[in-house]
Amino acid sequence: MKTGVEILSTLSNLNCPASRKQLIEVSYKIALTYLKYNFRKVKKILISEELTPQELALDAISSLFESDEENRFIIIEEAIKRWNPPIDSEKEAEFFLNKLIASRIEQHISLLLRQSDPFFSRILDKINYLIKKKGLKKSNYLGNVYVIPSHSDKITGCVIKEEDFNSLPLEIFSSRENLFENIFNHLKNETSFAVAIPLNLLIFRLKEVDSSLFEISEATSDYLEKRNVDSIVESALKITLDKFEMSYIKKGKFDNDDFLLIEKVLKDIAYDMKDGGVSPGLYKYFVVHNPEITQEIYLNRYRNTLEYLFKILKQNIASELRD
Amino acid sequence: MKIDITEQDLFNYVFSPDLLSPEVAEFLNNSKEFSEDIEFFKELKNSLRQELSYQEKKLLAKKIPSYQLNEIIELYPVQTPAKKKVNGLILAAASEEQKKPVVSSRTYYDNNKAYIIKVINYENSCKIFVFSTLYEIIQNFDLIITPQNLKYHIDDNSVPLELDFNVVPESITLEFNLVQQS
Repeated sequence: MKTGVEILSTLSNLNCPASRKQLIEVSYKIALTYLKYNFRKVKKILISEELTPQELALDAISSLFESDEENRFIIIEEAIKRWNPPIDSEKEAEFFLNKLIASRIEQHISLLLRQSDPFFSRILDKINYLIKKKGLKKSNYLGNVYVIPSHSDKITGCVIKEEDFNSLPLEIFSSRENLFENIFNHLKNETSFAVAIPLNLLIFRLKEVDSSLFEISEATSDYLEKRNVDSIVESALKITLDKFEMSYIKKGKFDNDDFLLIEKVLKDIAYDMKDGGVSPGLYKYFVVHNPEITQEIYLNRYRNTLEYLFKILKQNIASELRD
Repeated sequence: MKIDITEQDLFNYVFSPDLLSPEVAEFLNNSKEFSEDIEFFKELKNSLRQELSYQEKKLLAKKIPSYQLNEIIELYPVQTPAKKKVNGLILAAASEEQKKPVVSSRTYYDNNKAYIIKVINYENSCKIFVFSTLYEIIQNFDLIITPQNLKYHIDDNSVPLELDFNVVPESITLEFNLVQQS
């Protein structure tokens, strides 16, 4: 990549410490660039996890450089073996490394989105099920996963960007059974974009439009009970508040006014989570309901408990979605 | 004419234009359709040319056990005692204005005081002297000036590093046992 580092040489000498070092540095630079390119997608994660882009980039790629008992970078070695055509030139080595890192970044972002948002996770499961059921394919393009028709081998043409995707008409998202066909047809017949659906953007869009995909029914044979998302949130919230009452109120750590306040705060958080995402900085949720609580009071008295309850709430929503 | 452009075409357009067919190259030269994606690969190419900061290297070493950090020494400026105000010195109105000295110097130590660096700024230039308190000759190392992240390779410390501008580093890093890059 005209970086002063010969990628082919480093990939061919993975046991050499100097090659390893160069490979790790180049991989990190690629990862960071992809992460910055996808900054909008990860901004909330960075804030909520209190991570820097550098740390997130490293978290995404560090497993590539784990050594096995023979001190080999086994994941990279396997990826090289699987790559087609075989890597026998510097140019091919450059493209291989670029794709490998891009794919790692995408996987890691997706994992974090899953962890931070049970609704995202649930819809993703359903979409993955539909992709498999319909024999569709996934393809990585510039660090993003796209769903492509079964007859396609790779993406050709210009992929749809976020703004355009979010402007697609609502009705093409309304049918679960024909969801992909409808979007593919729209992209093919009504736009000049490649016939490829950005997976994460699709999940966010479905979450926003409150599609029937939210309903826990039919998507898999295991899910027959029909419940709407509001009842899931209510139920998870109740379990979380019960926990708060048992562990904090009854033990005298907080009083009843605190309970009412935290109940309102958690309710707002839960519905924000459903409607697109929790605002960074949970303090804001407090001020809305009690402007007298200063940042200092929040930090000293409420922060740890609220963060714990928020974590429990997410777990409970995920659990309700599984039930 | 409609040409099917792939991600690899865009990558090659920036990294290996010689691999592109003339038709694809011409199409991309004249098309704005892929400008955002091409811009991304250009940014990627630029980022690969940039040096990692010492902080980033430390982070790599912390998160990836296979990444061995070079021996790094950080030096910080010695705190100079505040100048005492001289009481009673009153200049007459007609006195010549005191000029700032043209030469200024700053000294940097590491925690173990194994190294001393003297930064001397002249009017428009600078000399940076690196000393070992063990009186050894220091060879083949990089000197990094922060926060600007200016990196200079030094073969040995028998001659100072000369710059044609002034620097007032917040800290200076010495990096040894460098991996030779091709």
